[in-house]
Amino acid sequence: MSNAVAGYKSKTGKKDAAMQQDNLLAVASVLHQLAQPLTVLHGLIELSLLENQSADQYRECLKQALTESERLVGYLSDARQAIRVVQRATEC
Amino acid sequence: MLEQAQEARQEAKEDVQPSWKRILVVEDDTALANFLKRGLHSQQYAVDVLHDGETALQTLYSTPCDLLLLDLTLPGLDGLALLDRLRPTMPNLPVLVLTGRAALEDRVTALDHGADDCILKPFSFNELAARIRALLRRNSSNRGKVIKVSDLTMDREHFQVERSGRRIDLTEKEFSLLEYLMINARRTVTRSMIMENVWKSEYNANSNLVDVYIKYVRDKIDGDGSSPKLLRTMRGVGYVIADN
Repeated sequence: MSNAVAGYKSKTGKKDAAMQQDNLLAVASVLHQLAQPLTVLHGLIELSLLENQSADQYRECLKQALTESERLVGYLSDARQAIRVVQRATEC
Repeated sequence: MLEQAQEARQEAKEDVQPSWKRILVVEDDTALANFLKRGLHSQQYAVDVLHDGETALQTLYSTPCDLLLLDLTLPGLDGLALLDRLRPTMPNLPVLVLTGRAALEDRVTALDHGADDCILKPFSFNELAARIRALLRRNSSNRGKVIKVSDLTMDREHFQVERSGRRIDLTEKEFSLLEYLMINARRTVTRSMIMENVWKSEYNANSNLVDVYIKYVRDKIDGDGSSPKLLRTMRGVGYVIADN
């Protein structure tokens, strides 16, 4: 995603079609990255419901879920930054 | 590279029963790989985890597994390239591909490169587990009744073994040992793997049971001047059955 951001920052005067293509690639990249932590998060919840676990195991599961949700937040933050860069580029 | 594979296998040996099916997970996202290991272990699978395609390929050549769970996006050798190199030698290994690429053509491409099934991230663990069960079920019912290595033929349905038309009589345990070696033809299997898969028990380094049975089998299939010798000892590692 950072490459996409750098690409937008460079403002090389690309035509609209090329910019739209870049936008699509950036969106695809975001979606691809979101899929990993979402899979883990979803799976951790499913496993917690499937298994009888000790309190410590549930706590460990929740810690992992928290880590993955923080990863999701990080990716969303990157995506927002990318959107801001694109908006500035299109305004100029 | 091999150290990484051995570490993965050593970790996976913890709390694993010899009868459990073995799954190799190849996924570069560490968090997802660790989750899959934990989840599949809870479903009573022995799980090895690797993070790159080249190490995975080397491991598959040396260490048998029952199913490969393969991410497409890997550093170095990617999932599709790995499938291309794997399929000529292991056409029957069930491969379930994990992909983050939503396009239909990406999934079609994976299937055309030799994947047996494809699941799109993010996926439900329950669905993944069900697909794994289905693939393993299909594989066990489809396993060839007759397997061949060079001129050695085993008819698993009728418990018959022949070499160049010469009938070979084997005891039940010798048959199981030869079957395991032939299923893993051209791959070295260790004494520990043989103990786990043929005798369904832990390997004891002080026991020469495996070596004794290997000798029985070797005398029967490679004796009487049969050529080439098919069952070979890989010094310090184990045994391999191969035609060259």
